[in-house]
Amino acid sequence: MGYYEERVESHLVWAILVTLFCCLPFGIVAIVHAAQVDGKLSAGDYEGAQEYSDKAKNWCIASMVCGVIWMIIYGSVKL
Amino acid sequence: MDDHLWISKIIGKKHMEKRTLDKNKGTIYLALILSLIIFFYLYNPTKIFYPPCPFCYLTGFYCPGCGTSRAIYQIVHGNFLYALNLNPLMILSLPFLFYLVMCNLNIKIGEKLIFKRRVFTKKFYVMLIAVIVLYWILRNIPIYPFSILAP
Repeated sequence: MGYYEERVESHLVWAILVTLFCCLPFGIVAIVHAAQVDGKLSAGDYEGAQEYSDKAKNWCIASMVCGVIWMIIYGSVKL
Repeated sequence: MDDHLWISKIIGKKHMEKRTLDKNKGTIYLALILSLIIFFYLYNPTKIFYPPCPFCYLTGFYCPGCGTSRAIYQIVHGNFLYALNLNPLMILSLPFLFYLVMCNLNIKIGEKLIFKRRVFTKKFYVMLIAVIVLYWILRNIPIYPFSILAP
């Protein structure tokens, strides 16, 4: 296990959290990107891994933002 | 560490700066867990005004996350079996999530890391996605052995 491999985050925790705790299918996309991160890492491509790490993070954030937007829309329509 | 400079050139300075935020990670996880516990201790999601899952609301099908908030309510109030009934995969994933969070936090005893960040194999990810997608499909089948999975 190299020193640099610990440096690139796969954001798997948040990917699973948004899939099982949130509600939208975006979580699956985040898990696929997390898989790409670890795939690139084991192939030794650290730049590629970093790129996919950022993508995975963005999907997690997108999913959370969608959840919040849904709450606001639902709340403002039903209240 | 000589290694250090060499890596910052490859991965980029931006990423090295991100790692200084590591200490905040623990705070974020702790805040998330505490706020979930406090919120669901005080409020029952079936009784207060609480937005339903958008996927379920729009399509009528259950998603892998349906029943999670009710399950957390039951866990916080000590009913583990009832929580398992509401969203079994979420409950079963909790120990694994705990392990991943521990890996993320880089907690050290002396100089040694307790849990190291693991690079999972492709097989692991294929399994993970297969389990989630299968769970998604099976919990929508309203026939006995599968209906246990529904919330």
